[in-house]
Amino acid sequence: MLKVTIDGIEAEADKEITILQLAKKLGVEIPTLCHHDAITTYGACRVCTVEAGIPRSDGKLRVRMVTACNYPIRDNGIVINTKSERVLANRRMILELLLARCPNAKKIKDLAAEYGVLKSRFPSENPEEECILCGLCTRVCQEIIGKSAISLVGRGFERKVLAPFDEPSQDCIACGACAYICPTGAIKIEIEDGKLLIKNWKTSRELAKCLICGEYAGPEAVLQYIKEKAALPDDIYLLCDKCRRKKLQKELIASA
Amino acid sequence: MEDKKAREILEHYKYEQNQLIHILQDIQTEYRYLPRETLSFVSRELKIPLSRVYSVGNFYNAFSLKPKGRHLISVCLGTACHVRGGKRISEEIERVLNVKSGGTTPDQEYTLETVNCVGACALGPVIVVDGKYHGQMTSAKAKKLLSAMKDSGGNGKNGKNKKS
Repeated sequence: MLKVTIDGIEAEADKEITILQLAKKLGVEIPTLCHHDAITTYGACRVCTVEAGIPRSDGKLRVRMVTACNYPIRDNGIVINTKSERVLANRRMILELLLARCPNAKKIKDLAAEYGVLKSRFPSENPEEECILCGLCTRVCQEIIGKSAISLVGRGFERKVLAPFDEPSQDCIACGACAYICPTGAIKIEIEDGKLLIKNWKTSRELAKCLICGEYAGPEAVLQYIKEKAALPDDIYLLCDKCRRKKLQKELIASA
Repeated sequence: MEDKKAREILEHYKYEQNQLIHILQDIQTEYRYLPRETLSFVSRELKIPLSRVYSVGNFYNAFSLKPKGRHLISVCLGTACHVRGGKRISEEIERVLNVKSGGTTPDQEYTLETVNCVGACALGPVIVVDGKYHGQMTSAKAKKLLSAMKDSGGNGKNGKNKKS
C-alpha cells in the first residue's frame, strides 16, 4: 500500500492502480470522455488531466500535469490535486479546444459550461462535427465485440474513424456498441425498411423478427454472432429481449 | 484471389504479424501502391483485422492507396528550399505536367509530390527525381529536366516493352 494525498484527503492505494480508479473509490470526481471501465485506457481526450507531485529525495515535490485515467500510482507520498487553479485552467483550455472542434455536441457543451466555458476562442472547421477522435468506438469494437470493423485512419487534420476504404465493412455486424459507448453521440443509428443502418460506417444489416411477438429482435448478424459465441439453441437466439426473458422465466419456474 | 507476389513477400517475412510495415513496404515497392485486394489478402493471411492494415497503410506517407506514376518527382518545400523559391518550382512542374501536387499524370508516368525537407538544405531548392537529388533548382532547369526525362521516357517505354 502506498500513501497518497488527493485534494488534501490522505488515503492509501494499491500500487499500479490509476489516479482515476483511486478517485472513484474515494468519491473524488474527475471528468472523463474517452474512458470506460471495461476498456483499455487511451488518454485521448485529456479532460481528466490532474496535477501529480512526486516527492523527491530532498523533500521537494516535482509536480506534473498527468492524465488521471492512465497514470499508475507508483510512488509513496504522491500528492494529487484535481481542483487546483492550474488544473482548472488546463481543463478549461482543453474543453475550449474540444468545443472548437464540436461546437454543437451536447455532451461537450454541457461539460464545458460546467467549467464556465461557454464559447471557444478558436475557429470551428465544421459546426456539424461531433467526433472528438477518442477512439472509444474502435476500442469497444476490438476489445469487447472482437470484430475490429473500424479504426482511426489518417493523420492530423485528416484523422477520422472509418471502416476500411470508407465502404460497408464485412466485419461490422451492426451491433451498435460503438454508438452506445460514444461519449458525444457522434455515431448515428437508424432503422429503415427492416434494416439497421450505422451511417458513419455505411453499415446496413437486415433486422430479424422475434419468433414470438414479431417485433424486431436485432440485426441478424448480431444474433448469429451471439448464438455462436454463447452456443444458444435456435429457439432462444431468435427472440426479442422481452420474449426471451418471459420464456426463460417460464422455463425456470417449470424446472423449479 | 491469389496474389502471387504478395504471397512471396508474406513467405519471406514468415507470416509474422509484427512485420506488417515491412510487408506493406515491399508491396508498395512492387506495385508502386497498395492495391485494395492485396491489403485484404494480407489481412486474411496475417490474421490482422483489415481495419488495422488499412489504418497502417493510411498513416505513413511512404504508402499510397492510389497508384503512383513510374517516375516520382518530390519537390522540397522545407524552410530553406521554400525561401529560395521551391514553391515556384513546384508550380512550374504542376503547369508542365498538368497535374496538381500529390497527383499522378493520367498516363501513369509521373507522380508529383511536395515534401518538407529532404535533408539537403545547402543544395536548395532541391527536387528529387526517382531518388536522384537535383540541387540549385530553378523553374527553367526543372523544365529542361522534365523534357529530358520525357525524351528518355520514350526509351524507358521501349525498355519496359522488352521486359514484358
